Amino acid sequence: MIYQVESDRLLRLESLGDKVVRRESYAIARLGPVAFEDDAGFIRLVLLRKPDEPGTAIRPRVRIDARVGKHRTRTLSRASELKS
Amino acid sequence: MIQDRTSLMIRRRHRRRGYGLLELTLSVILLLAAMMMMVKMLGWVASERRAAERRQWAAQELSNAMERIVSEPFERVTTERASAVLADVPLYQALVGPEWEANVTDDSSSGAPARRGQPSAPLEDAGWRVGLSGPTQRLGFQGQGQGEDRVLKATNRTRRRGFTLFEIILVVAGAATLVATCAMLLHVLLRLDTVARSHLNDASTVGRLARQFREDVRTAASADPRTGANPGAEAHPDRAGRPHGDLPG
Repeated sequence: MIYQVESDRLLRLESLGDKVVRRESYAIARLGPVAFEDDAGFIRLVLLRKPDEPGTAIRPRVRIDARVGKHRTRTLSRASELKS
Repeated sequence: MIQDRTSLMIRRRHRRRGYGLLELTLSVILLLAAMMMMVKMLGWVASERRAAERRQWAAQELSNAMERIVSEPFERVTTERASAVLADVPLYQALVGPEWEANVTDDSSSGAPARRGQPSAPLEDAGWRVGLSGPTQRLGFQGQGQGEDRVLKATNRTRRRGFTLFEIILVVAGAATLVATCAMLLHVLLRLDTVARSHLNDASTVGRLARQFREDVRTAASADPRTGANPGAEAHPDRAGRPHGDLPG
């Protein structure tokens, strides 16, 4: 799975081996620039949205935090519970 | 004497040309009131839209907080811990004077298998008819001598054919002002609509992206965010080591 920025679009490429099997595109022309940050087990996608007030230079950050492997942890713990 | 009085009454009755100052003033006041109401309504719509948008962004920040709270070990999820996480959420960037409260409740008494943390933050932040006179009534007054002449003169004097240049200029100026005002209001409305639509699109895009991104990262075994901003920023949530059927139901 690759998230990649191309001009004013954020592409989500789902690949199987070398072949891209799924491709999604998100329009981020008004939400760029995009950055990815690593924050102690969390991956953060940072976008900058247009300010509310016209004439304001500061663009508020929009953060999307996601815990890496959260579902896997739950699965493993559930599996160990089942085993015991 | 009677004829004189009658002719005077007729003259008065026919002296009506256009509208009085009082009528004009009332019309202008009503028009101004209607315009002010329209402007107020537009302002209200704009402020409501901004408030709704702020709530959406605040909800996004709360989702981030929830992501952190639910990734804590089960035993450590308490009201205090949830409050501490929520305290770090920059809600003040999205809302004006935000207030929040975290409550972690134990559902075990109700037979539910797990305890659920549910931070709740109030996301409240803090829209003439002008009646012209009908056809001139012809008076069937029949007088005699001098009185009849006066009546005829009065009738001739009040006979109205067309409008004066001044009246036409006034009407045209009034109509032009009204059209300009309507055009201005229409322009403001269209601009509001365009801005609202683009903001709605942004919020919708971020919502879809957040759902998909979280899902991908949660199911990934590891992630490699290649640091850097636009262009070419990349993240690789790697699903390679993912066992089969590990997605929660």
